[in-house]
Amino acid sequence: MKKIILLIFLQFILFTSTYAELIIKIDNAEIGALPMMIHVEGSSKKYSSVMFEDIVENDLLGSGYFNILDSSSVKNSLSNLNTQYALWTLSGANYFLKANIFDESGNESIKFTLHNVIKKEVMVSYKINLDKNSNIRRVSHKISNVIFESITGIKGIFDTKIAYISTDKSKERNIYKLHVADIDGFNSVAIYKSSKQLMSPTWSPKNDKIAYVSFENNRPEIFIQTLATGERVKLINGNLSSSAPAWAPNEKFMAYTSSVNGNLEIFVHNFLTKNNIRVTNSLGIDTEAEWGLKSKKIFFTSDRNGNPHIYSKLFKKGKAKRITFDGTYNADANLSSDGKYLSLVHNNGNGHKIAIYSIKDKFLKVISKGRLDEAPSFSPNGKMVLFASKKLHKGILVATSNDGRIRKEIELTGEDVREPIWSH
Amino acid sequence: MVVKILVQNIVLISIISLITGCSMTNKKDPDVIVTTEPMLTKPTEGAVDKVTSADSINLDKIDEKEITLGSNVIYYDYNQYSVDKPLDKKIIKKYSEYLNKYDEAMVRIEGHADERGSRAYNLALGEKRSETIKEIMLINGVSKNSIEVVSYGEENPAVMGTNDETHSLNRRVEIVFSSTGK
Repeated sequence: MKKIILLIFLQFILFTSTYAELIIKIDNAEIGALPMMIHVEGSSKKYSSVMFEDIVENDLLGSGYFNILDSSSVKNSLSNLNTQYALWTLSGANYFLKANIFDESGNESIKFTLHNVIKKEVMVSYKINLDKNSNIRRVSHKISNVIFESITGIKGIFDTKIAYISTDKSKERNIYKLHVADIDGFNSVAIYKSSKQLMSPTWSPKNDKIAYVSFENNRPEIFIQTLATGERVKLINGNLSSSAPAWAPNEKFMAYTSSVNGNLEIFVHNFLTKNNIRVTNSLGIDTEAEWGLKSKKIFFTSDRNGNPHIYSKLFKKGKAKRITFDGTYNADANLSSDGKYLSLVHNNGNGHKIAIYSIKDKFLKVISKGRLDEAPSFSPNGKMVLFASKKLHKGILVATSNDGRIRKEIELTGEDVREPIWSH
Repeated sequence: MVVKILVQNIVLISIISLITGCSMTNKKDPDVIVTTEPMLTKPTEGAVDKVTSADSINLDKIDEKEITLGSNVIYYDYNQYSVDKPLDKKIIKKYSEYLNKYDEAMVRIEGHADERGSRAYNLALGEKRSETIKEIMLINGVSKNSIEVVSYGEENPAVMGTNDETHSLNRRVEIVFSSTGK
């Protein structure tokens, strides 16, 4: 196993103005990883080759699919614009990403070409124009996505984001923060801070808003915050407690949990009509709604048969159908983007772990090792699961590939992190 | 049988008489040293010792409800929210009676869960625990306007730690008097 530790210093402009340090540890399985070389040449007024090379290398190495080789063995051929497959083969690389930054009369651009060294052919070649507003991290993640998808056939996720909650317990009162960050941990911004509990963040289908639960009025209430403007709106007016928000993929509805006659039930809020429709009706707890892909079905956690298990139901009609039967506890289901799998919190008597459940095959597979793991969400390409775990009694985030090839830990010094949710 | 009880009573009376008799007759214990020195000595010049009077100690009156109602915490088994134990039923009954007696009183039923499992489910579990107690209070005749329900899920543990003992102390409902009026 290869270990990479990235230390990212982030200044959160908060109550404290102190530095919080985001630590990302990557355990990467080298066996089976594809050998690859990356080399970026040239520079412009604003951009240097090293910056691009580092970001792309971290992306691809962190995916678990690639082993990045040292290109110094073939360095004499690197600045040569010609292809030299015979020489590159000696490096042991199967693939070679070769890029150049150009500054032609003030017009800056980066051109990159992916070579299949074994087949001695060009796989893809692109040019991206760089202007003064170009974000080097975004451009680099875009390149990583193209390379990753060209080789693996799987959609890249290097330009996606995560949202999560952190708690700073160093002060007299806990400070809760809702963060949005790039998946590699950079560009982390605390978009909302409160001395009252924050929980259950969830992305809108277009990733432009986040809904979450805030206790600012001394009860759980759902708020929707627009990322670009910071504007906040309470989902339901009045003094009603509401929790566990879930955005329908068609953006027309928001499912949530509220109590009726002493029982916790699932409701659906219609954004257009402002009506709230009751979806479930059982004695006990129904919560943690998760929408089906067509915005017609809802998966949810219910204890109607004793222990918590996952059920599904059409939100406008029909009866609830039990989905999970393994173990004594299955909760907080998150649907993969292809609709085939649920990631969930599972307990079979050996602690609360993350499991993936195949809806079609009715097969459950545990993918985490902790005893207090929770809040799973799939990556947009369905190949990884992000969840919260505990390390020496401290909350950390973990991203793991479904096959266990790679595991990333994200830790924030001095603060507990939890409830991560991957953007769409 | 009767004889045996009589004998026991006679022995008991004799023992009591012996004890009380001793205390009456032995007023002056020869081992007790009686000091003849005055307890308060004249203060040395320049030094002033303040004598604290009992009158200067404030007595803060304890709120009646805290004395009469006793425990305000109900504990639960893992993933459970039913109230089965007689002691817990007694707590709810006492609070119900108090709320029925004092119209202006108002309680906040705060539900909690231990740290294990999903946070959103634990929030619902805490709320279900609180709601169950609220339902019992309503059956006991308490006005719904006197009861406020809130769940904190696993966020406000009573004790820190990750073991069976701390978990069992954190799975709880606390009934607290609310400062907000109706």
